[in-house]
Amino acid sequence: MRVLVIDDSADIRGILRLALSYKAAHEVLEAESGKLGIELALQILPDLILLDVMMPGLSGPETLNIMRAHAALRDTPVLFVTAKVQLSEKEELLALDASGVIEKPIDMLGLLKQIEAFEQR
Amino acid sequence: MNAPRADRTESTDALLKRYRAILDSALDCIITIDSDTRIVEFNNVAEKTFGYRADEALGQRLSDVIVPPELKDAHETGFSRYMATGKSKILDTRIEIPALRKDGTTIDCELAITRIDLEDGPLFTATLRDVTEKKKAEKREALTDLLLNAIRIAQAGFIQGKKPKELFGSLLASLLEITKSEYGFIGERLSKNDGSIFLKTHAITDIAWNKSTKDFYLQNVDSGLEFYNLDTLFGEVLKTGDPLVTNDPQAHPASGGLPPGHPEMRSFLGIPLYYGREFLGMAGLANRPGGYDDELLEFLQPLLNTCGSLINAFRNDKAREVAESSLRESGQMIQAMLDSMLDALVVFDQEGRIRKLNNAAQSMFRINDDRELYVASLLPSLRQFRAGDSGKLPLQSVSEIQATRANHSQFPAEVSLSKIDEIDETLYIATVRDVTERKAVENLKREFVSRVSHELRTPLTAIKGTLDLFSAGILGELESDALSTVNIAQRNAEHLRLLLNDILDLEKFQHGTMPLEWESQSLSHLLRGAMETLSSLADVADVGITLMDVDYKVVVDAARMKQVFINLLSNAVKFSPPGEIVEVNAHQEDETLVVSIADRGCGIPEHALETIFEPFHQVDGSDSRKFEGTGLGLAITREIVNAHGGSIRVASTPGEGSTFTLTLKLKGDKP
Repeated sequence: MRVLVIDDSADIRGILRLALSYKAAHEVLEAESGKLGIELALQILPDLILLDVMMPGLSGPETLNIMRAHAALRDTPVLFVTAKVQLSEKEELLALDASGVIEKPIDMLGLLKQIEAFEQR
Repeated sequence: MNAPRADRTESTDALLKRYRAILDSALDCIITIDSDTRIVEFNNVAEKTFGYRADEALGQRLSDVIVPPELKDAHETGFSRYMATGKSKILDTRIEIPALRKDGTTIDCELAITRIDLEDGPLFTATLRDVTEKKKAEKREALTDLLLNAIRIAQAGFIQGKKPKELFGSLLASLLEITKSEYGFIGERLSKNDGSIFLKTHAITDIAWNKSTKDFYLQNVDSGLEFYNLDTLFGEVLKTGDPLVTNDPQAHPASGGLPPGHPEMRSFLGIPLYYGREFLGMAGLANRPGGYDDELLEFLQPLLNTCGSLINAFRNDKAREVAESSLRESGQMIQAMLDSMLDALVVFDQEGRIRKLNNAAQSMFRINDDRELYVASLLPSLRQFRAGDSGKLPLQSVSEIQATRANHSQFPAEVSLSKIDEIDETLYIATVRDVTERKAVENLKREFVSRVSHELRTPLTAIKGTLDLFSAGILGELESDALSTVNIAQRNAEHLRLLLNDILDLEKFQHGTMPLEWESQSLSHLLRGAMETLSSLADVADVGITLMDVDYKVVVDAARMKQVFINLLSNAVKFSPPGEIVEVNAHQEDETLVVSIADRGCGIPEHALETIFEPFHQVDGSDSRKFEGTGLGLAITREIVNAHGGSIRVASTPGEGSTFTLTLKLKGDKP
């Protein structure tokens, strides 16, 4: 599976790359901002996008909005990665046409299982 | 010749007899003298009036019988002049003149003298009438007039608001005039703090006899002279409350003597002044010609009563003045306090009409004119006052509302209402605090806490993620030492995660921004859910959890209430010795459900019971390491219970165990 990780933290991108590529052998691409993420997504058309919510420049929700405006990315599954953990906040994010919300700190094993589920769809 | 002579003699005798009878039946004294002023006639009335028998008086010179010594010369000179010149001031007129009685006393007489010319020379018949009583009555009448006039002037003066000095001054002048006394005073009977009595004059004659007494008089006459020595005649009156009349003051047992130079005192009258039965002061008079007596005292009584009434009136006046001024002062103090308050005070009546705004209110609401305002225009949530309906006001409780300034801009405010029941109306006070800044600070703090916890989550993700990957063997299997080291790091990362969550939760509860989802739930279901979560912990600790009577329905945020039970039960399990039981029980009290969780653990020392619900508080510093927790569990538990409109408390006996008891609204709609 081709997974695009959009997060301004290189460490988070690195750990996600490790988690997703080392054993599960997903193809992981990284972008450090929403803007770069959109450009990259349009180029590679990923199977799944992990999108950080709080980023300088375009925020996660803004990035998602723009992506959804492109026909090529209209149906791409997007998982928000967020430190906002309240139920209401989660619901707000889901309402933005995301497939799911992953809380920080990320439960890596849980994430792998979730991605497996996407793969099976 | 004889006969007619005899006839004439007879008839003369008869005439004389008749004349004698007329004289004796006359109501006035009739005394006739000859040209040598010798008495030739002295009738009955004259005998009675002057105390002489006719035979004693007849043949005597008039001036030796009834003319007082001081008038003797005038009488004799006047009579000789008349005889020589025929000019008299007193003949054929009616004059008043003093006359001397045999006993030496003097009487006042009305006198008329008629000349009768006979062959042997002229005779002078004096008709005298004793007018002493009449004169006395007239004098008394004149004095009564003076007295009444003095009273009238004093009363009018009081009504006109004249000063005590002026009024008592005129009263003293009247007293002196009426009694013909030389000097005197009117004073008030006062007591010092130690209870001792002294006299303070309101009016006193200036009898200064040297420079120092003059200076003393002048310096103190306006404020009143004070006399403390009661071993004196006036002191006796002040001590006893009885009048003191003496015409030999120096010999009086109460006399303390006079200071050298003091004017002579020949007589003294000391009169207590009363208002009703209250002994308020005294008047003192000295040196009346002829001395003082009880009759005079009685005569003066109306004037003395007036003095008493005036002292009383001035006292009341003064008391009122003191009360008014202390009222004014305390009013000013209250006003100053109100104006120095940082909180705005809005006082309004039942119609909502604003009666008063303190300084803070005027500046808070930007009000700079006096126009009539209604409370609803400043505090719209009190609109009900416009309609006069004040029945449903939440008094005393603090509520947060939007307030409106005079320029219609709005600001967040905390308002508490209280009610003042005045005699004739009810007023309300709204205490208003502008919480704009506090809100801003709160927001900043909330933002900061939220920001920090978010910022911490990202690096924590990297750390925890890495550890998870290692621990799960995703990056290859680890040696057992390495694995257990990774596990330690992993546990601590997890602790950090829980801590961050708790901080964020607590912050949200404390600011009322934690969203709650209400649903009807069974208490036993919530408890069983919590027990399930804790089952491994309980197994490891070998502590059992027993649910007793817990079949109740509650309306709660199920997830949060489960969190409460997890917190309380995990504490109970953690602090229980192995093999013990934690008991959960519930019962209903009115509309409230009371749930208790009792353990038989080590208990909580009394000093810690108060603070155990505070954040990061654990009974012993070592507890946090021994009994792993974030230190926020009970703080969050209390916040959750409070958010449900309930309360939580703990009772504990060290060494025997602790019981946490929480209350929840039973049928509760949302709190």
